[in-house]
Amino acid sequence: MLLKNNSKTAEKLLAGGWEKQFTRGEPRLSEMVDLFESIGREVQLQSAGPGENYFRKECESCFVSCGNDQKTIWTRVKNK
Amino acid sequence: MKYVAGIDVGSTYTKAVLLSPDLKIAGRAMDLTGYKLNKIAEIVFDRVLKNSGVKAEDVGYVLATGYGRHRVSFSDLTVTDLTATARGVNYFFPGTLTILDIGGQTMKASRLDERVKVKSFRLNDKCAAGTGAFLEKTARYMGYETEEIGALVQTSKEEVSISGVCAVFAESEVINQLSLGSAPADIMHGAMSSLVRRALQLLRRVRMEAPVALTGGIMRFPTMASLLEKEINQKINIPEGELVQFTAALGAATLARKQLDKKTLNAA
Repeated sequence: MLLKNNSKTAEKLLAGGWEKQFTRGEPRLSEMVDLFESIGREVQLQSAGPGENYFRKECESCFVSCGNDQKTIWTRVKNK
Repeated sequence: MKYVAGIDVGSTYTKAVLLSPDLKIAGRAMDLTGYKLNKIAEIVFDRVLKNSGVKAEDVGYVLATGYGRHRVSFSDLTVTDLTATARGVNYFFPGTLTILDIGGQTMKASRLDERVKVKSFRLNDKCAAGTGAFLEKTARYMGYETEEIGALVQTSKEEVSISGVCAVFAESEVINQLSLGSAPADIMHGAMSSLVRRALQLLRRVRMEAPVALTGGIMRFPTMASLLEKEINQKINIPEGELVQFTAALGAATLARKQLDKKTLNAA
């Protein structure tokens, strides 16, 4: 399930022991998710599209022109 | 005993390494990746065979890595470039615990355990800002080719402050600095320092621990390596000369050796 991009989501994730990793688009995104899972971490994806925590203003034109498939990876150690 | 090969289809360059049965580097080849990923993998593989005088039928296992690894139709197996780089670094510097790898479009920091397994890692966020693309664009805006970056920056007398690492905005920053009379070498020096600051952030986030090794195409510029060494403030290991660009391909080849040995054992 893709989580919404707002500060409440981030607060909940942090409270649940999740750690924000980084934001990527495909094809790297799926590869990184696999890699995190292979080192024993649970993964959740948060939308990085328009929302409260969108990219810096000067970066917007790049991301608009490149499409909107960027997602932020959150992870935590399994069974936490 | 057969030879084994590792092929790293990176975003900018595709590299191949051939390992002899006694784990010596028998040959290596490299070319620009372009967009025909399987084709370039074939070209580079053929070249490494030709360079080393080894026949294709004497290669028992091919392992592909890099972002284009799934497109290498003739590979026996694929692994992520993080895993391959870890193995490649271990070939040169056993016991390495932290790796910084700066390629054409990615910057990766990873922490390894004693068994050379990736324990944690970080990638540059969102785009190619702070990667080799940033240095390439900065050089191009000043009329220099990528291969001239190393020699250019070594003539720098004074670093010019470059605030960002965005390859797009580098153009306006470079033009502004040139109009102020700054020397291209000093601007390039500033661009490298900016990249180093970004790299240190990633290294801190993976909780860098010595021994540290640096790899990737950017590390072939000695100034980049010395700036990082100064900031990290401890001895760092870097594969010698051009080998710094072949670390992932080499790591893939060492994993190919293991796979071939396993296969041979199972068949016996």
